Amino acid sequence: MALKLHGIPMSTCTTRVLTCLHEKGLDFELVPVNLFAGEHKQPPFLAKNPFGQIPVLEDGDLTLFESRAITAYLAEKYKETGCDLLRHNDLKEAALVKVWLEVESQHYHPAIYQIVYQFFVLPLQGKTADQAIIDVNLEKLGKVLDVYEARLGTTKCLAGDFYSLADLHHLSYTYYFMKTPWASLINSRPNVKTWWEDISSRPAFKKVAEGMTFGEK
Amino acid sequence: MVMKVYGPVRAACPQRVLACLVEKGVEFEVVHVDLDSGEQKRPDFLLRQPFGQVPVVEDGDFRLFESRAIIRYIAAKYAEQGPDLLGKSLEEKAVVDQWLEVEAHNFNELVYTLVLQLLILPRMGERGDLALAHTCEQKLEKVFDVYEQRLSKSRYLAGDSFTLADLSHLLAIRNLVKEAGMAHLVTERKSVSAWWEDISNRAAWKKVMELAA
Repeated sequence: MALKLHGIPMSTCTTRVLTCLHEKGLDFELVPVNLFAGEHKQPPFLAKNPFGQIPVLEDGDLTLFESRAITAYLAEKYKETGCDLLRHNDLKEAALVKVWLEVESQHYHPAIYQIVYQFFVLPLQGKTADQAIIDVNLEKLGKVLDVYEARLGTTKCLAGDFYSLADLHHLSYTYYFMKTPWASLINSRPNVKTWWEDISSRPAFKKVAEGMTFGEK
Repeated sequence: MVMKVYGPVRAACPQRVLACLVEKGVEFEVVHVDLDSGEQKRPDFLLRQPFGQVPVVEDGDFRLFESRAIIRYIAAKYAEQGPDLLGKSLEEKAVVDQWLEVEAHNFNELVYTLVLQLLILPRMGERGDLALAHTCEQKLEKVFDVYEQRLSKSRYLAGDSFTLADLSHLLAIRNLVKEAGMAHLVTERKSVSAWWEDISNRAAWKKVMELAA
């Protein structure tokens, strides 16, 4: 039975999982969820994810939500195929991947999410972006990127000299962020810029990015 | 060599790590960090943790930060001793991960913001934003409704056993119930109440609370 992913091609969290599926060369079916009709907040969908959010993965009897738990599951289940995203053969490397997965989750994501939400999502709902919220989060993101700049001066990727799930988790939100007027936060930091160009040019992500059409007419 | 945990025993995120260490029966040494004087933001600490936060763990010459990464490492390294906090099969592990993510993304920020507005800012002599605290409380009601639904079918968040997913919630719920006057979020929900009674009375958590007293 094939993997089923419920979500949409332009969603940041769905594409986090899509990228992982492509890195592993896995067959799957993308089942669209009609967000504009509120499908994700209605009982059939809520039975899959009680928080009413996409994506959801169905693998036979197993139903999983939370994109970062889904990618970790796929990376673990298919650890012997495709890119070694979790460094499962080395406890210390695996631990460092987990550290930078948490850094993305706790430091990078909260700031970049607010900017992407204000700039892309609110206008879709007919609302105006709040520049004050954007400014506060640009400052926070700048500070986080300073730490990344220092880190990426010592290692090629975040957890070490290898691409891992920690780098992959940054792709979707950063891709949209680079379409805002504030891409210079990435481009003005040479190590971060090199890392971004590197990870965003991976074939698995380029395939997914084709569907990431937020902000385009 | 004994594992070193950098951070005050009273701070929330170090307690997440201490709870895991005690559950697993792993020896450790706490190295106090003086948050009030800003020790965590000074250059020598920033070498340990570039974001200037606690906890940091040193296991020999291997250093880790981010409490949720640390507990996963400890649970994996000491998988053969103490209770199984990770789950056995791939599917069980994935469900533990799922609820750890729920704590990190659907729960933590609401509790953090509420506690900041109601407790921390006033302690620092500043005005908390009561409207914001109230919004967080309302959102938390909805989150706890989901937890109630889940815990009415499952003894613990990820299944029949206590795991990291439950452990990760201990400090935040303790703050809600004991410090922030939000006990009703738990007591008004039968399954959540029973779950909280259970996990907050575990020997390991009681030991951590003794250390922090």
